[in-house]
Amino acid sequence: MDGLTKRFGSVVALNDLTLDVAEGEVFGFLGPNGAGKSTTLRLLLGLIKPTAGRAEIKGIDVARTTEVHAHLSYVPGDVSLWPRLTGEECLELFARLQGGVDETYRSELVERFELDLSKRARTYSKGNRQKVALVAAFARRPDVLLLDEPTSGLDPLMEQEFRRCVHEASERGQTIFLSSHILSEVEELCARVGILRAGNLVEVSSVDALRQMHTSELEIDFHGEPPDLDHVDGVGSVERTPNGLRVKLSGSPRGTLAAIRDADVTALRSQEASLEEIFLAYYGDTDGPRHDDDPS
Amino acid sequence: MTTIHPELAVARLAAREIRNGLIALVVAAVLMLAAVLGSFSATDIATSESFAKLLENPAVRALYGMPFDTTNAGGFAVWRFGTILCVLAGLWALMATTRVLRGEEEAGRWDLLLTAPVTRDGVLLSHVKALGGGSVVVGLAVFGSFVAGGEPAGPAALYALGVTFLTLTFVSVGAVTSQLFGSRRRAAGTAGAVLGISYLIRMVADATADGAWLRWASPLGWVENLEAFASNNALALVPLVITPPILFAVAVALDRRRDTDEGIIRDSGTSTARLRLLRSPLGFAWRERIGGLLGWGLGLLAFGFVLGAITKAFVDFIAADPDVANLTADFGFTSLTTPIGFVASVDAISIAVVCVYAVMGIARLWEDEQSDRLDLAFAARVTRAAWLGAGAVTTAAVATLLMVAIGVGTWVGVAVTGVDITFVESMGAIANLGPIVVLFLGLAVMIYGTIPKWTVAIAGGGAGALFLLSFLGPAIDLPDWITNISPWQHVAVAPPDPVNWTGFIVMSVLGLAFAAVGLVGYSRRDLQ
Repeated sequence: MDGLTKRFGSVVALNDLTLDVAEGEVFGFLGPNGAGKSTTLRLLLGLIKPTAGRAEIKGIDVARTTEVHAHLSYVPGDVSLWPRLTGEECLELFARLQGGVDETYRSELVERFELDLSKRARTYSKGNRQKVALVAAFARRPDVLLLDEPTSGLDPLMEQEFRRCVHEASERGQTIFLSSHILSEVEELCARVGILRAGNLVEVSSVDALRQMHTSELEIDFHGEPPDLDHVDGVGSVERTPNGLRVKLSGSPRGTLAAIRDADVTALRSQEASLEEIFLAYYGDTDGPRHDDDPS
Repeated sequence: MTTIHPELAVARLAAREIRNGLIALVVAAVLMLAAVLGSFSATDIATSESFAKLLENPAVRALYGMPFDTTNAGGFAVWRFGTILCVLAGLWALMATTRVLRGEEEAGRWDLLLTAPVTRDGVLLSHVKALGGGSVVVGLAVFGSFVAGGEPAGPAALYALGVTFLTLTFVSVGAVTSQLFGSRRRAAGTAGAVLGISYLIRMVADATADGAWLRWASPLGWVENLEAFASNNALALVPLVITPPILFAVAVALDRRRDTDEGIIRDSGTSTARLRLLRSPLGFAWRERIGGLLGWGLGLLAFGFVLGAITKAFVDFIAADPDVANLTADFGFTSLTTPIGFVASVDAISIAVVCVYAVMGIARLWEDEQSDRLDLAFAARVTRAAWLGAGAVTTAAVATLLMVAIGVGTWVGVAVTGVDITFVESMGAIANLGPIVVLFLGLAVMIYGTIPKWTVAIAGGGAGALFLLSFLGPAIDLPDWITNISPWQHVAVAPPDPVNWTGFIVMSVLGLAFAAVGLVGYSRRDLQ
């Protein structure tokens, strides 16, 4: 994706998105509601056309939809089916429209997702409609899977099944672009994530690096009076605890460790910020989370 | 804390949903009545002997309705446009009603309404109130048009009440079918069938000498029985006034017995898979449309049959008094001296129905698009042009079959009355009008491919308006250049006249060009 931009009238839904996802990667795409995640996916699918910029999938411009779509499958967050078609008829329709379905694998997936194919789509719950699209998408074993909050409406067991499918696909070398709100899902499945806010890509990083980059907490117990850490490099805030101090780090813990080298430390516990806290910082704060090593 | 009036909120919501169609109906009614009242000349009508004879003709009565007193402008307008006006009002009523009462529920939006502190009956009746308000607006527009045209207020009020209650009757019919069926399409189709049958009964009742009692069997006949601007029979309001409350009570009773999202008549939730037609966009598009073929086909077959059956009466009458032929030309019919000429002329009415079907056949793609169903299709390896092309080709195929149904129905109708028209002639008469369907189908494809939300308004509304123009224009002496905008002015009465090849080719080419623009536009525009 290179400078991908989409405006609806005066509203900028997506602003100058430049992003590379490597082949075989499982990439997580995060952001609050209305950040532009679905717009990005719809641009990649050619369902809407970019106002500016371009994108390629497997080296093919996404505007050449028939060629690009030969390589990809899509699962929307709210699957809408023709109400009078049965599940089986829906799968047949999508199989014929897309081609390249592994029917044995599809039957296996239908079993695994416990999908009753004789029912009409009208009678399906949201979760069941979601399953139809997931089965149709995975059964093709496409090179690229574009998934837009694919597990919304699935029960936890089915969500586990979905994760297994993603692992299998990833092992086969398929590329997966996963837009999701479920952080445990992203944490388990994705090596790298991109965070979108108000149409702007604010961060692209590996999940581990994100963690390191962000506030973690040290609880240090001292025998006697704790040292003064208020002005030490990398320290955000300091609180007294009954036995010592709770130090919120905003960068490397090196300075703090140096400062307590000579103190009488009785215990040292560290707690990393959860992914959830990191995202809340990105989603909520209008300027994004502050990095200590940022000049601002 | 503000007091909450959930019922009022529901009624307001419903009013918003039905507003645009209502405005279109009111504008059409006001324009039609203003035009006919403005151009009426009592002396012309009163002194024209052949006009009086024309009114005696069963075929004319079948087409327009019963003339009770056409020597005053009000009575003339009621005869001339009353039936069309009532059909339009009935159509609006059943479309709007099934949309808000069934379509909204089908889309899952009622779940939210029903979780507000309102009863089920409350939600249904709030919608009915909004639709009833709409019916009153239609009536007021009719009343206002007559009074503004200088007609006496009493008969105008009687007729306006008739139109109001007729509209309300079809609202109540729609309310019942919305409870019976789980899909809007079926609810609207069934209510539409009731309107169609009412129309056919009225045709038969007006055309036959001893069939007047039959008028009591048709809501459209009830309005005629008011004899507005003639004997002004207020007693005839009785069936119009009592039917809506009865049907609303039925609707409420049915509503209480069913589950949300289901109709009383449940179609089974499971079905054996039929996969044969799912193998290509073309097969799928065909599969989507075969369901509608039966209903539309039977309706047009019956309509064609009745038109065929009244041919003899009309032509015999013309043969007895050729002067009348000149007069009928003023009503948009020329070359009426032969049976086939009459058939070719009235086929112009049937073809308008086929045009409406053609626009609907394309508009269903817009329905699919709005409910995001097309996202998955277009994420697959199918081009937009192939998808829309499949929709257009299958719609054209069904439209062709509908034309065959008209041709067959008409031929059977003339054959049983002993009129000498060959099957080929009957088919030729309807085929001659094919380019009009091509034109509006192409227009629908173009609008859907570029500005989709206007598909029905522009292509469907255009077909309706231009059809009316071809009848209205000559009757009220509009300048030719206005009347000639209508495609119906550019087809010959063929046979017996030779085909107007210029019109035939220009309209066909224009339709295909529109379709091409639509296909290109569809490939380029954003999916909504």
